[in-house]
Amino acid sequence: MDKYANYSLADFLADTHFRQWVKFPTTESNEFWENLQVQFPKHKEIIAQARLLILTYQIEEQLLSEEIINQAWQEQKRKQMAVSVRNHQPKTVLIQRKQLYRIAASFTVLMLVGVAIWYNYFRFEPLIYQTKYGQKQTITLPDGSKVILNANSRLEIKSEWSHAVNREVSLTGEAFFEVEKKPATKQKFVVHTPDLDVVVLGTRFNVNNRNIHTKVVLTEGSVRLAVKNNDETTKDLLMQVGDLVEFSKKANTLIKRNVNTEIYSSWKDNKLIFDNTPLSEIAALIKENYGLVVRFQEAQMAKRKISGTIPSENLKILLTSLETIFNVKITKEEQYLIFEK
Amino acid sequence: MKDADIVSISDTDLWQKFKNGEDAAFGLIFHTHYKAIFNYGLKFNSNSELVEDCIQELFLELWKNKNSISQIDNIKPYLLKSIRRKIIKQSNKNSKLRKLFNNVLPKEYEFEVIFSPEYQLIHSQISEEKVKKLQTMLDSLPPRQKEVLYLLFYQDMSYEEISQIMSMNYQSARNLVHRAIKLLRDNSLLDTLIIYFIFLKNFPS
Repeated sequence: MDKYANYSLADFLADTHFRQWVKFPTTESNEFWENLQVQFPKHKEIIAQARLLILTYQIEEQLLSEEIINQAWQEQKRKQMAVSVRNHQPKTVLIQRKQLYRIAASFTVLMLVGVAIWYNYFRFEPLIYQTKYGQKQTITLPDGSKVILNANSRLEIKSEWSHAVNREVSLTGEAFFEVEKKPATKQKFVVHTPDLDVVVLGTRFNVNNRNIHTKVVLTEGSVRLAVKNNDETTKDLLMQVGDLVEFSKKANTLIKRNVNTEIYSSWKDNKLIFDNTPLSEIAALIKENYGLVVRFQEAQMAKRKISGTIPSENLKILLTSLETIFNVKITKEEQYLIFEK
Repeated sequence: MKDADIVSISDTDLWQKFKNGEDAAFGLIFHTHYKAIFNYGLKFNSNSELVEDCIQELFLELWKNKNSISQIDNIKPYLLKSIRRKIIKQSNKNSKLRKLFNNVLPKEYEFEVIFSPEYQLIHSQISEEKVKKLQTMLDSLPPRQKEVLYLLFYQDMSYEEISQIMSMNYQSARNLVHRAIKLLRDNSLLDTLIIYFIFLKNFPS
């Protein structure tokens, strides 16, 4: 304790134990510094001043997490690596076995980091569009083609689109395609569904694979369908304007007929065209597009048919129209729509 | 650090291991001092990105020169001195003075600290207003005086180490503190408050 006899204020400020006591006092350190003041009463004032200074000089310091420091260290390793690569030359120093392992481990880590960075930044991320119930979305693809995605549907744009490869998308649900022609590169446009691939050069068509089958309706141009057989082989099928092709791999049914194409793609223009369509089919449509289950008070009701155009901007307009046409009362209860007389 | 055998190593040995090319030793130095270097650097330039870059550069240079670098027995002051030099240089890169006297470390620099209210004091009998007055006075001290106090209180440095960091002799480092104390006394800041402080009995435990 004698070393404190001639301590000045500046000495107290530079004394680690003193600072420790001021900032984080304990019963033990309190006792020590109380005793010191008893022993050297002349220090009382400068100790008080030193305490005051230390406690007042209270500033904001950045608290760096272990994670941030680790990131900085990884950055440092990357920089070292870059220098090593630049100055790559045979070393005259013998590398010990243990060091070799360390170097190998560092390289592995760096390679993994590199792969992760490449994967995150340079890989083409598959673009996924997903619509909710009652929602439509118009998508312009990288090649300028337009897709109108119906409600409750999902479109995935596959792989990188360059001039070298075909333009490929995958569809679950329903969509109307307006494909831009690429006469210069003769690139094809391919829509994948579980049942078939629609292969086109430039045309307008509707694809629907909501149930266990895929339905393709051709509005303009021509398309080739690569129908998927159960044995992984495909069968080509050419479609003409006005054709509807319905195929199910599961049920192994293939239907081809000529239709009024507008009926199948009118949804994109916010209207529904029916041609002798039973209410049961409209119920299925409501379930697919709005996620609501239709319950008929009387089973007979489902068989009633309708022809005509109904606006379908939203569910309310559609239901009001149906109420008027069929002279029914529709009430919504949770996920159900009750059709009553 | 996974290598348990180097945790309680002396600075001298740690530095030697680093010079021998042991990556774990260099990593330990980096991890141990990063926070202190970063916070010290921020006082000269509040741009944290610039400070981070300077730290990266500093360690990269150490690593590149590990074969030729001298033996160090006290790592922290060495690193603080290096980062100080680097950031002051970097901060003054665009100033006219730097262009005239190329490569000379400028005498003028900023040392900015952000004072925060001290709870121990506020709970005591000294009013917040008085603490603020003293803090304002401390804040208006010349950069070098502020810096010495920071190195004492926040980096736990001795006058010897401070003189090394700030490139001055031992007595000059002490003098900076004396000057600061004198200024505070001349403004009766230490004395008017001291009355309350001496009779402050409630040491927090």
